Amino acid sequence: MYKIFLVEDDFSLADAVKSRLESYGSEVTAVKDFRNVTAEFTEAKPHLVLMDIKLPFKDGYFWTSEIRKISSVPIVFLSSASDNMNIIMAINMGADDFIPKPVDAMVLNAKVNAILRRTYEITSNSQTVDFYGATLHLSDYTVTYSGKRTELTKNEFRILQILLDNRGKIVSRDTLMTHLWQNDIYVEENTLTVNMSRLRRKLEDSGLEGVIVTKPGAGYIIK
Amino acid sequence: MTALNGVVFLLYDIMTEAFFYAESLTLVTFLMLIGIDFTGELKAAKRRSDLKKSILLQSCFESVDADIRDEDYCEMLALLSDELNRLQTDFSLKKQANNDYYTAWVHQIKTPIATMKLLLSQNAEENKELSAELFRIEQYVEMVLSYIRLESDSNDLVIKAYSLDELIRETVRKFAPQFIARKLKLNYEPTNKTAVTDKKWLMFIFEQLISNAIKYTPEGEITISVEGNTVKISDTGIGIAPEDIPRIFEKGYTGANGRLGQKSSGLGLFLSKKAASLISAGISVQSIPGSGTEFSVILPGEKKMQTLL
Repeated sequence: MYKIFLVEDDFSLADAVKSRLESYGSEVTAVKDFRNVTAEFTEAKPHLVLMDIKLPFKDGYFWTSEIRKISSVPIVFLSSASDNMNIIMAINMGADDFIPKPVDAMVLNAKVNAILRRTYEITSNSQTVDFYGATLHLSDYTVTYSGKRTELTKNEFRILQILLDNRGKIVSRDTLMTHLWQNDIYVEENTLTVNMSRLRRKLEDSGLEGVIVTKPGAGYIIK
Repeated sequence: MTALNGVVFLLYDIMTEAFFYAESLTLVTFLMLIGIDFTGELKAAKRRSDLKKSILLQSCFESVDADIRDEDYCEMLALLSDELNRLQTDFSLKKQANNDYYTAWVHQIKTPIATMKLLLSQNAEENKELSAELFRIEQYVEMVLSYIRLESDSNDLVIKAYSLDELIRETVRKFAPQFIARKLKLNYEPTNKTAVTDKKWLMFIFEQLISNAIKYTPEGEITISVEGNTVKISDTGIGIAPEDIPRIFEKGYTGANGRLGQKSSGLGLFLSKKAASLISAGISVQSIPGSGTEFSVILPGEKKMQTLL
């Protein structure tokens, strides 16, 4: 599990970010004493830092350069002051990325994950998700089940991945489509229906029956 | 007068020669006086026109060899000029204070919007409508910031080479929930083209045009295509009335479509045009009422942008 260190002085936003990122499976520590950010950073030993610009006492640029003196951990700015000058300043100070507020939960999670993957998993291609005794391979869009390997198309793979990310929760067709669009797959209703039935057939053919359950009028769920 | 003089001289029996001599003396004196007066007037006119030129430069006394009368004028002009300068400084200070306040306001309000957005996403399904409304608030807030930046003279450009596909995709991702909620189809084929531009302002233009396309297309599709240096965003929407076309880029002009649902502030296209000129791009529009609208963003050629780099 990745640890994220959050430097944000607006407590309601800090709580919201914390609970969203934790729901996606990260561990988030928020700064309490804005006079001693570096000390709390050292104690938290995070894999990634989320940094606001406007902070009490010293600003985010200052803390970034302080952290850079002792660590090369990825630092991502999260700020509403997203003019070009601030972005350039942040990058010059040693930030790795700049996310403008207000950020979308999905986008925040995707960016954080992308940077974590880039930093810590450069060599690993073996990311997998297990379900019903089967395995989804994220690197080559395949499912293996009892020794049999099934190839998925990009769309089918994303649909399955999204349902597995939200395992145990009903995902509506609109949400499913929004996720697909975030991955630059611009499907419409009909395409989604077609993709969904093909995905189901492929899973059934490989012996995985009834994995994706339809909840009429609500959406789909993998239990 | 001369005739009267002649008659009087004749009655006193004075020689006509004396009469003509006196007359010609008078005439010469008269002409000389006129001449002096005229050159004086000419000089004064020249001084006034010099004054006119120097009125805002505050160099009244230096540039004009003033006589006493002109000195008074000069003083008056200097006073007026001082006053004008004072008012101008005052105005730009007030405007700057205003801009600073609204910029700070935008940054402040973005934090609670960010919080709400994250909170709503915890129950995304139930909160879909609220999220859509919050997205509108977010767009309006962004518009305030863009308005301030485009109206002030500050230039915040970062010209770099960007993948046009990535800029278009990023805009589309932002509007994905709107496309899906309205069941609009998107046609877009990646082009692998590069644009040397300022990302922020080009995306601002794309956002305005895509937002309008979604707003005014009840059903059908939106197509984004790239031909040469031109990005085209077309829809199958309600279209724009021919009489509105010449004025849609004017500030505050909403046209029939805007008045229809009061959805329009008349700022989106005006600011897009401004943003376009900031990055040396052009915007044009073609529309057929009832069948659709096509906006074209004409990006400057590579060569022209290199000079901006």
